Amino acid sequence: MWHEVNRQRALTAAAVVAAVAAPLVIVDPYIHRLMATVALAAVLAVSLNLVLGYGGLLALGHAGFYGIGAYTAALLSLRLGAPFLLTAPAAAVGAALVAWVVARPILSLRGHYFAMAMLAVGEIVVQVAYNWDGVTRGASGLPGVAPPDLFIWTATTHRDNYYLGLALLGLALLAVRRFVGSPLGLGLVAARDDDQGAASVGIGVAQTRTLALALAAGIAGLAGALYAHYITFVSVEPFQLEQTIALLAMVAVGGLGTTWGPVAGAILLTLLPELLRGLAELRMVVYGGLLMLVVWLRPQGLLGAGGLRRGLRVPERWAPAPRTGVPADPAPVAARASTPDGASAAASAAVAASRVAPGDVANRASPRPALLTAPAPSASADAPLLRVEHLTKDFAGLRAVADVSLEVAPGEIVGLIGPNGAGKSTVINLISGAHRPTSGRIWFAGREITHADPSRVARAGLVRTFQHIRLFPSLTVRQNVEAAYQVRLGLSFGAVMTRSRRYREAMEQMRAAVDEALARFGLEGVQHRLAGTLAYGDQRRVELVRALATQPRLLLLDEPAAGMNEAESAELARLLQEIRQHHGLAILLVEHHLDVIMEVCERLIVLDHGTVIATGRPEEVVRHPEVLRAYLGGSP
Amino acid sequence: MSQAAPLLAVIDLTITYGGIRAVEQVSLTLQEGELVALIGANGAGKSSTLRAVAGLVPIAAGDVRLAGESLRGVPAHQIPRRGLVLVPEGRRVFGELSVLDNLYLGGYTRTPEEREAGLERVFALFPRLKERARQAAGTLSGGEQQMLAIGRALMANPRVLLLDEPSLGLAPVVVEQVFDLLRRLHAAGVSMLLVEQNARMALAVADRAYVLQTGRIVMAGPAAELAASDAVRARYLGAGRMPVPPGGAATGPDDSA
Amino acid sequence: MAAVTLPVVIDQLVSGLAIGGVYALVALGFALIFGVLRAAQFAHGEVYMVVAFLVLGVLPWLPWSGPLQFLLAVVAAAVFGAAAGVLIERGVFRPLAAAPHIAPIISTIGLMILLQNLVAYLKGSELHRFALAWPQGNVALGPASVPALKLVIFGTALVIPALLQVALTRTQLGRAIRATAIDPETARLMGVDTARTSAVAFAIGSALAGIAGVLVGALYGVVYATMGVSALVKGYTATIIGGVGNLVGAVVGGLLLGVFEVLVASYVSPRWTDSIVFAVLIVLLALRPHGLIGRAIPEKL
Repeated sequence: MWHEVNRQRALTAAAVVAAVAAPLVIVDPYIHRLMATVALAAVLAVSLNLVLGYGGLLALGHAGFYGIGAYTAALLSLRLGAPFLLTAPAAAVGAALVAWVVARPILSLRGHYFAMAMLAVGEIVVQVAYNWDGVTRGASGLPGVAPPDLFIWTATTHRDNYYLGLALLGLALLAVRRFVGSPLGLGLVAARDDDQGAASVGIGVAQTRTLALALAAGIAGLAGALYAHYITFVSVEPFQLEQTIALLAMVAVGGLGTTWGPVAGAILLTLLPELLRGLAELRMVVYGGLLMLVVWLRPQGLLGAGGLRRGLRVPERWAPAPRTGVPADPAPVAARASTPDGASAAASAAVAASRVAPGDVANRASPRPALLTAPAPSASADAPLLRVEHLTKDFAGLRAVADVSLEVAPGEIVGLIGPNGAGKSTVINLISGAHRPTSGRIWFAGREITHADPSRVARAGLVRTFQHIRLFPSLTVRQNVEAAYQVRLGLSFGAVMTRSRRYREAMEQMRAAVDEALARFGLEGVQHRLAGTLAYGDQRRVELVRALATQPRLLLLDEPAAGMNEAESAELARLLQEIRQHHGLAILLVEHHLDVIMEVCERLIVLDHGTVIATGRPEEVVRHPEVLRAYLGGSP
Repeated sequence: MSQAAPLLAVIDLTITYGGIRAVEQVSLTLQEGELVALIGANGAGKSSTLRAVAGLVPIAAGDVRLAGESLRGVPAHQIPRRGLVLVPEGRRVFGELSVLDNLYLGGYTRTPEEREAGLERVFALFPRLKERARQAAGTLSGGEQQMLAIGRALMANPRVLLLDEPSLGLAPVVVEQVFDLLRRLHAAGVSMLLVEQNARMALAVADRAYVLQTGRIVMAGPAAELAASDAVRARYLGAGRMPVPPGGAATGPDDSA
Repeated sequence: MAAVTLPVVIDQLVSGLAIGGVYALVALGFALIFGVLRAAQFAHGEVYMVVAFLVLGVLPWLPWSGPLQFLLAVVAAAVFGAAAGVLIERGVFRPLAAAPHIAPIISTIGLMILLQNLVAYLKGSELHRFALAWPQGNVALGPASVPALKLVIFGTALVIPALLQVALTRTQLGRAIRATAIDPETARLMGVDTARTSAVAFAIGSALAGIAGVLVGALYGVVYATMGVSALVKGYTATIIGGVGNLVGAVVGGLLLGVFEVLVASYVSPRWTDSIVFAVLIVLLALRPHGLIGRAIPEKL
């Protein structure tokens, strides 16, 4: 592994040296011009990759942000005589701001709806530039932009501008890597893998994507400023849909979601038409054919290791957990016993200890901020934690849930049962914010959450799991848990980009807490495997750890034992009881496995045709005639 | 029991995913009119076995023979034509299509006359489906969807019916109905190979059963005998308290790493 | 700016419905292909363009010049389109079936560039006159007199989707196509040869694009090498308005888009039409994230 890292560093260093030295060796200005063009294309491709590769968002309007940057810089230069050092940041901020403003309403859109909205944004930019004669001079464009002036030095030649482009590329690569290699990047990739799963653990999907899009737009805006000052002339052609499509091809041909793929793609697809110049008019015909050929030969991209299908590696910027050499804590169990519910904690630590190597126990038991400590109880401990009143939901004329009221007290395990189609999943979806109720209200921990979106509900401490496991398949087990844990760190964009001290401390805290959680659930051995490759039972366990990493006060579990045999579901029941004891959290459990229900639930609520038909202690409810008729079968 | 050649024979079946063996040298037989259950833990290879028989998963080694004819290498869409139909896990009805359209698709390999006859048979078996023939299948309850999935498979008038976890995610009262239906089909002479998590129910309806563990058959015999065996009771019927190891009993593709 | 009188409004509406009908056919084909292959066909507009050129080439050879010429032109377009579709499905999509989702997108972008430049190389990048002998002249429609051509185009764009709808809902092949779009694996378990149904759906979708290309050629009287790009954008827009995967929605979306464009161009500003259309689209998507007609249906209750 370390050889691999060293080899990559050596390769990177060699590439940088070559990129810097090449124009000094080759003196042909035509080549310099080409290199400057490649550098600009690479900057744009790297920025698009953040959104497309890591974010999974088909951003069909990326060239629009490039255009906003170019026009901003050109107008500031022409109207106010502002130098490049002022116009460039202004261009970046302008493009990022537009991205920020337009992104908020459309970032919750999925797939092609998002692509369409971005295409529309890009088209509007082009149309405005083309038609707003008074400002942009329409089709005639804006000539006479000053060359890039850095006060002490002005870039005049193609080579000078190439170096500026190269510097910009370095900046773009660093910014993208920092973003992607941070908890925010984990959130971005998690949302790409499964946006509902991401929201269910509190990841602000739209916020994270907005940040990524704004960062990408800002970088594109910078590139636009450099373009305007370098070419000294701006008109709409370079910012049209065709440019976005070309960038798309660069990123995909190079390798989506790889650090260097977009650069490789930019080099190849910028130089290819130049190399084909001898073909004159057939040049673009051959270019199109070669593009198809490259995709056919390497569908995952030149540098892609498997693309989106087989998952994607997020650069690990923080050191992996040390395997050896950590001094053993002299009193692991004592450290544990200092948690609020000491006795049961020690007991479960003992359970966990039986599963992991002694060294690991010592490692995770040192007094670090713990992942799994229960949150402080709220002021009114006897008030219900969750209160649902008169909840009703209609789907296209079909009443799925009708006037359901229920309560869950802190620390209580409540079972929600009923026949298929009774509305159990809808109730879970309504409480967790995935659906909006037609009427009725929901309170959690004293606050109304009736219309809160899923990620806010999760951050408030009400976390759900899904009947069909929704792990993030292209993240490792560890990253799955970290993606959920990082939400509570509340890291700012600034902290992430500057790697501030607070950021580094937060990373340390996260690493320790996640180590502990993985060890507790016996997942240490598989922590670096992709979550999707695990056995079913382990995936269920990861899902639980991930949910617990958000420090919930109420877990909504939707058929966690589905597809388990009786021995496996008995193990699950044990695990749920342990979690409840140790974390003092409440659980609302939807389940068909009666053995699980009877073993862990203190109270049952039975739904049929969207209404509550019975509620009470399990042994009473299972004898209720209505329940027997509608759900259990048999006779009293 | 009939001494004739088995209707369905799985012979030394091996299935690999990316080089990792999920199912290893599994052999089993199904006689005409028999109901055979295949039980085991999650990831033991039960579903993979069924999917390989139905042609959805390539067979790495071994063979599957239906009435003596090999199904190895036959594309999935040609297998129903030969008389073998799989009712997939999770029901998989076409939710946006009507119940009737779903049934017509079940009879895709049949002539129009056979389809109409099949439709009458299925409606006689499931009067509920007739009432809801024009409704979108997605609006049916889970139990009704399972009936539709089975009815859809019967439309092909198969010689062998494979059922993958028909009780999955169903309420207890509906699980009873599904197993009642299996009993009725069994009594009517339909040959079935059943994969089930609910080992207790499966062993109660089956003639014979096989137990799969990490891709291999570890036990086989008459269902009643297996249901009485201590090993099966402890491991699959939840009678004992078997600690499940942290890695889980199941194997994932990377377990060997 | 146009006057707001009934004859003028009728005239505008008919113009909008004619061009909207073209968008509807493009969108319907795009949606059909997308539904079955789950992949965006970015060279869909090039099929439209290439077929328009091919039909322009065979037009002098057609033996009739009345309504039969129109009919034959449409049939020829469907045949050429279907053939192109089969070639693209076999050559581009099937080899990339197991590749990441982006791969067929990029490959069809390559195809788009290739075809556009090939036609420009062979035929030149100028406008080519495209005239059908029928329908000519105007017909009275209430107080207005509108070109018969526009009514015929609109009618064609209604009849063909209606025929397709019947085929998709009433025949076994149609059911197989819809089943393949919903769940290909289960469709195979029913005995459906999904590779074949995908190819058929692709051929039908491309035939629709080809017909649209001929209709738009007749409507504007010209065809040119880069006409496919705007067709793709409009068709894509119409698909989104109608809701991805919703075939009826694609047709309605196309008609709405056409009428809206013509009305904005006439009564607001021809220059800012595209900007306004796209701005309205963004607002629409913000309010209705699954398109105007698409709706979110819960997976289960």
